[in-house]
Amino acid sequence: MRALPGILLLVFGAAARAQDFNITASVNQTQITLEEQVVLSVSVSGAGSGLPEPKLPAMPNFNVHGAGQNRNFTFANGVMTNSAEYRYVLVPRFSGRALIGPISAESGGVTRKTAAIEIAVLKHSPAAAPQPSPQPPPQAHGARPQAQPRGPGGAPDLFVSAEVDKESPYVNEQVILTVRFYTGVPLLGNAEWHPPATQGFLSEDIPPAQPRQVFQDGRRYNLSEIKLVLFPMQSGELTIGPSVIVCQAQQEMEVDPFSQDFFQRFFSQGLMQAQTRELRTRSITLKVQPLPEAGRPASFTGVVGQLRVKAETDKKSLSAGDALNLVVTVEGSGNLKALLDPKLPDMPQFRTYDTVSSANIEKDANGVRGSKVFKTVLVPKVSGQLKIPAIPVSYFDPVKRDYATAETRPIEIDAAPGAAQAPAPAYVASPGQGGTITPLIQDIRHIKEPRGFGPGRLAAALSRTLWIHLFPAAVFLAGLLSFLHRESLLQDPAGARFRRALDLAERAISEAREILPCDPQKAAGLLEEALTGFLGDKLNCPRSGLTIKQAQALIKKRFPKMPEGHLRQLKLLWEEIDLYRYAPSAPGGTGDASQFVDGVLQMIKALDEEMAR
Amino acid sequence: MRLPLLALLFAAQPGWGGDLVEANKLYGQSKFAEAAAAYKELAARDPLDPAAHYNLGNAYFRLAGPGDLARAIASYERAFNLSPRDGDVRHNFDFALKRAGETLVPTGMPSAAFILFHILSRTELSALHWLGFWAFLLLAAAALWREKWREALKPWVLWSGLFWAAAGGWWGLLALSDVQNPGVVLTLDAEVRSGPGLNFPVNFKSPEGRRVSILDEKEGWVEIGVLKEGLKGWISAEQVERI
Repeated sequence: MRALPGILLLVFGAAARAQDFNITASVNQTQITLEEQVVLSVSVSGAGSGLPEPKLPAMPNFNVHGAGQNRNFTFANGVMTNSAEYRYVLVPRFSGRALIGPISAESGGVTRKTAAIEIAVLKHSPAAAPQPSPQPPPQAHGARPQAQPRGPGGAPDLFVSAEVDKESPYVNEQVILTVRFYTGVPLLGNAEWHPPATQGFLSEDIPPAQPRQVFQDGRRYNLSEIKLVLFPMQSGELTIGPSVIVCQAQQEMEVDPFSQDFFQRFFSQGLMQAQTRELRTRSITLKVQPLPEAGRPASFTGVVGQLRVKAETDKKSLSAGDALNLVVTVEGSGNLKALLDPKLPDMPQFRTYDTVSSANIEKDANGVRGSKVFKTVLVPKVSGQLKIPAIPVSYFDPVKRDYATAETRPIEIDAAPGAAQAPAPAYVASPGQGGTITPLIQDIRHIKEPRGFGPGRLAAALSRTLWIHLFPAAVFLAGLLSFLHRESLLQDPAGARFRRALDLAERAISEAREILPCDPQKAAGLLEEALTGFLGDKLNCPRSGLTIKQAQALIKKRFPKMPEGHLRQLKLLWEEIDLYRYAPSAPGGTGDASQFVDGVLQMIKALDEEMAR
Repeated sequence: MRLPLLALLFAAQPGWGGDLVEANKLYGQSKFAEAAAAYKELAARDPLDPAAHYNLGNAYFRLAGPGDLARAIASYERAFNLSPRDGDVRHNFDFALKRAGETLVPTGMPSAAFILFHILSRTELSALHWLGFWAFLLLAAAALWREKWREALKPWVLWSGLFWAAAGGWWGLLALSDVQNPGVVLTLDAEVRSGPGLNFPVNFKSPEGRRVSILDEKEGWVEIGVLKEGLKGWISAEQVERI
């Protein structure tokens, strides 16, 4: 954790300063002969990862060949510095003073330039005079020499050839095109070289070798070789166009000794004249094979060649939370520019930050080779014996015609407990301060073990089971209704008596019906009470002491529409019950109380019906 | 009465203790990704278990990959909502929030007042509110039913009513003070736009782990409100996790 701000500064802060850069240029020598070469080094450096590439000015006095580049990243004091060196070989074409103009680079609207460099090119030195060479001349396979004017022995004065080292490469496999230029006559300056059209290829030029002397068809020639490394980008037939070489050769003049200006010419120009010659190689067609689909590893990113990979860390032991650098170096031959960042395996014990890479590309007669270095910052999240697993880098080996995977060796890291790993703050007592404790670190606290059935869970259940809360609501509602009912009865006692009269009378009649078989006298008494009670409640008068005359009078007064038949029937029933109760054996008594039960019930229902109208 | 009690006991069934122990073993072996997956499953099966959410937050925090801080904050918030009196939960929640530029206790509010206000969880306050509801209604019903009990029950009815109102009021205040429909931003410097689509300009950028209120949703975009800065805008729905 302590390393985090610094790492973030490295990873993110540096990218924001891409426009802070410098460009410088230098040469290995400022005075050369026509047989020599100048090595021009252009260096671009700055903070950040997005440095611009230099733009070379037009240099008509030189043939320019790229000779590789070198990129480096360095971390110092929390700042990432990026530098790239581009190397070029300049072959002079003419003697005299040649100027390398300002070399520029542009980034984020900012353009920087180098100072111009002047080179003095001298004529051929005596030491460089052609010498007989014992080696036989090379045989060109890719193209026949182009027919040219021939010398006395039948061999041409100048000719060119072109050949490739393989005619059926795989996609992205390195192909070396060699263009040879044979000169059997002196040249005025060096030749001008026009590279071939290479549509469908990525091309890298290779610095030219020093010219040498060879024998061809019994004639001695100066041989200059120019090589291009080509990477076909697609399968099928791809054509390398013709290379063109333009030079000025010295040719003997046809002189007429009897001409008027013979002597003037002989002494002023000699008997030789300059002739511009353009030589052209033939086109070469390659049959590019596609890479096989079968067996393609997941980590394959397109590199065809041979690779080796190794990994190392700057620390083998550290504290959890501290940073270490994992450096993965991939080296070998092939188009290393196409090599992407290796996919790091899953490392849950480490926090992984962005990867930065640097490349060192070398070119020679055998093609392009070099190395690419990937730096990744890792921070152990836990303590203990940690392991960085093997990191695979896959490529296609054109020699074996199969995919191959190179792997780094696993790396063991010893991580001691540190700030980011401890589960809880550690406390130490400071001696002499009364036992004051001071937290050493800040971190999250440890996980929890399972807990039993707690009040929180019951609370959650209570708050989420909503339907059970209807129960107290229903109880309350019932109590409220009961209360209101009783309150309404208290507010209107006469009305309450009136409304309850029939219920009470029916209850008394029902009771009389039950005891009738065993105690007819008591049953008759209950029937009379039911009748008088009904009338008392309906008429709102005391039930005790109510006589039939009073009852009839009150009924007529309160219910004037009461039929007279009902009143006569009431009087008759009342008197019969009285007679049964107090003189059951008297003349006119029925002697059977059961007939009164239905009679009283029908009577009070008829009265209630009329009173309700 | 048996049915409601049975329903309560069924709803309050205990958590998956054995599985939590297994997940804790993975955490102890520093297999944080596996532990996070196990805790996530436990939390999904038993959303009322604060330990599962808290431990899930710890696992995400240790993973420390893209979006893991935000997921840790979301898990800690769920644990805090369930168990606010737990000091460990409060500590880790505050610790993670500080990484995202926030604090658990709002600026200007005394820490003691915050802890007192959150001493009961919303669930607990809800339960207390319902207990007050039961007590008040049953006591009131009894007082209405029997006139002779009425005088004796009057103070109990009064106090239970006050308890009901206090618990309900506190519950409501807590619900109102919390972020409504909360979510958390999952990505670093997430671009928040003025409309639901990439053709709208970026209004502001939100750091990973910032808690937001989700206001609206439309075709894979959500409108969020950032309370601290008083800003709102639209963000891809994949960049926000609902809490």
